[in-house]
Amino acid sequence: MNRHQQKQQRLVNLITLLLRSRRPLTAAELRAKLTDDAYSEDKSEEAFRRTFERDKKDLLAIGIPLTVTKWDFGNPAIDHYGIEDSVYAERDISFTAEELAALHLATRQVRLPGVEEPFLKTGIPSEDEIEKVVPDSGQAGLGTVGELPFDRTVSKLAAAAAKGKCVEFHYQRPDQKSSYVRTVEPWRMSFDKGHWYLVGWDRVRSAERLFRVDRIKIRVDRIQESIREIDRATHPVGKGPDLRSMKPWHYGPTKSVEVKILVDATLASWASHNSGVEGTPQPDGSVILTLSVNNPDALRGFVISMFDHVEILEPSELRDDMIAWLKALV
Amino acid sequence: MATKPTTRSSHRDLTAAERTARLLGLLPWVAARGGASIDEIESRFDYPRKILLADLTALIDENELLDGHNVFSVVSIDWMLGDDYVQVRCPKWMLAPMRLNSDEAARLLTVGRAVLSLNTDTDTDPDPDTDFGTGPGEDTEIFTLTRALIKLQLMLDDAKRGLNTRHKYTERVEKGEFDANTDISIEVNLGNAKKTTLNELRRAVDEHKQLTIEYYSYGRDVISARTVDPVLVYSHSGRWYLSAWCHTAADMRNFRVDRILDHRVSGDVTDIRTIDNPTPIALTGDDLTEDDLVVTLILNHEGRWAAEHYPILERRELDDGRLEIKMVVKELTWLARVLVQLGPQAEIVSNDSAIEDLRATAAARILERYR
Repeated sequence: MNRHQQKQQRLVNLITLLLRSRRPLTAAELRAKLTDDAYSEDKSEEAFRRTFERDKKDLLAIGIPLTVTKWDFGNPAIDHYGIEDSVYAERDISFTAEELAALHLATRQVRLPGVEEPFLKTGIPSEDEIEKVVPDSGQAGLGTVGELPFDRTVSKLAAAAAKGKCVEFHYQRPDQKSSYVRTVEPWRMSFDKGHWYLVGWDRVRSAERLFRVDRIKIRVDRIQESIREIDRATHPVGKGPDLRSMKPWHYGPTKSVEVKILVDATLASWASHNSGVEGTPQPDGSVILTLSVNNPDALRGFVISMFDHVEILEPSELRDDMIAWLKALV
Repeated sequence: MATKPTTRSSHRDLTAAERTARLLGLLPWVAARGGASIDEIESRFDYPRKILLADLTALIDENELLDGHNVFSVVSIDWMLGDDYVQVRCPKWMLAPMRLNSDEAARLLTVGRAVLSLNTDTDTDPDPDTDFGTGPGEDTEIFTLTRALIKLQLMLDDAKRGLNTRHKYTERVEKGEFDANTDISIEVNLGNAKKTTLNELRRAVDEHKQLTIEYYSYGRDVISARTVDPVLVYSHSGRWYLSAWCHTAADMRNFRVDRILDHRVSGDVTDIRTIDNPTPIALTGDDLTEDDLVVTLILNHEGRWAAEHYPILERRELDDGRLEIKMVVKELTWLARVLVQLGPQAEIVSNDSAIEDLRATAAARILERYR
């Protein structure tokens, strides 16, 4: 047996031993019970500990819900290891063959890092099973159509939303010089315009808020979840803003101002689509867009992006601000 | 009949953890079915044949492994090297597959929601409640996927859920009472392009139709008409792209779908091309070339948004609290736009007078509009 097989054997035996044991076991007890060279008494305590730590990490990576309890029958308290009873899905939610097929087909259409591993637990559906759900699925039309970024922060926050647990994390916007602790009742995770957002209720500010996940300045395992569940009767999950319709000039502390811009015919449809506003067509093909603006700086950025194909018509204050901005650069 | 299996992992060695994960998956799966062929196990669990045979052999050869405990007290494998068929007996509690943890459930939920978003046919802002296709009579694939996503949502909680909970949620789906907005913790928007445009581009790809498009090259601020052979419609980092052979450039190009101002079918594609493995580099063209320019800017506090908004090569915090960034510039017009947007928030670090004049020239051009 080569060392890979030996390690694999040791992992399987560790799992078997922990599942069958009536109580959690210490590292010393596991070492005594397992017949494996890496755990033998010939090895130093330090060497055994290093191997045991690597084995624990591998068990967690496989998806084994390893538990650690500190028991202090003696002094000091010693770690005891076990595996949660719920490691197998018996009497729990499990997928039908059709559902697995639909999920697997989805993983072919949209790429995400690490999304194939769950099928090692359930078995990858066969082409026949997939055909039953989607006839002709083997043809070109159902190849990969997109990819998304993803990391454990997203799954941790989504799980907190599912469990109804409040979360606390450090957050820093680009305009802030340091991060601040935010306490949030998470509603959902939303991927829009290339970024992941946490949508939820900011407890301190008593308002719904969006948080960009890449601005969360804390390790994912340090994101604190509250012990008590959120009472959904008094704190229901809200709808939150519809990110698809939100534009950069919607995000801001100032009161909403109605702004009219005139866009040339060449970019009228592009501007209309990107602003989310149909606008009023003009005889020459240009269009007047009326926008609700909470963030004049962001609106300025959008207008400048269209160079001289657009101008701010009103209010006069914003038109004058734009003129002053440009004159300062000439 | 299943096609001959090809494992994704067959080109590399698996780690012990990866092999253990596969073994733990296949044992109850084979047991639940009464047996399975080596071919099927190889395909189902992405288990390279050579490694699978070695691991099964090792499992059977080792009888006494633990003090009073061995694998055979839990699992019994009926197989010999050379056999094509494996039979396994497991205790009842092991017959179900291992539970998905919340990270695994979240990843599958994400791709599922992304695929569902592809199936919205309307061009208006999608209503999340009707976006989900929850009712009976809906497309079978969508309905099946919806049921699977609801189960994944329950798994996100990582708690044990009984049969009653599962039935309750399935009933709500079948009655069309499911509210995706409050009942699902993940939503995905693959890009901000008009759905009618996306559908027409996909149809052109499928039917091998040549298109004439009116395209706004944002970087150069130029609108041009091009004849293209569409190859793939693809979403990357929240934007939709059309990969196509451009007859004007005589090369493959990636067009942002939201910058295609107009399009019409203009013929049939005669030279059909495919892209088997779209990659970020192929789509975004982030690789540096000789013609590219690297520009250094120093941003004050108000200008830091640019370091998040634009792709940058390097960033360095300066002692005075400002931020120095280096950016790749493929089009000077694009840079001019960025410099005017930043205005006094950015200092240009450059010995090139052409770069220095860019901002002033662009600002003057826009200012003419206000005279």
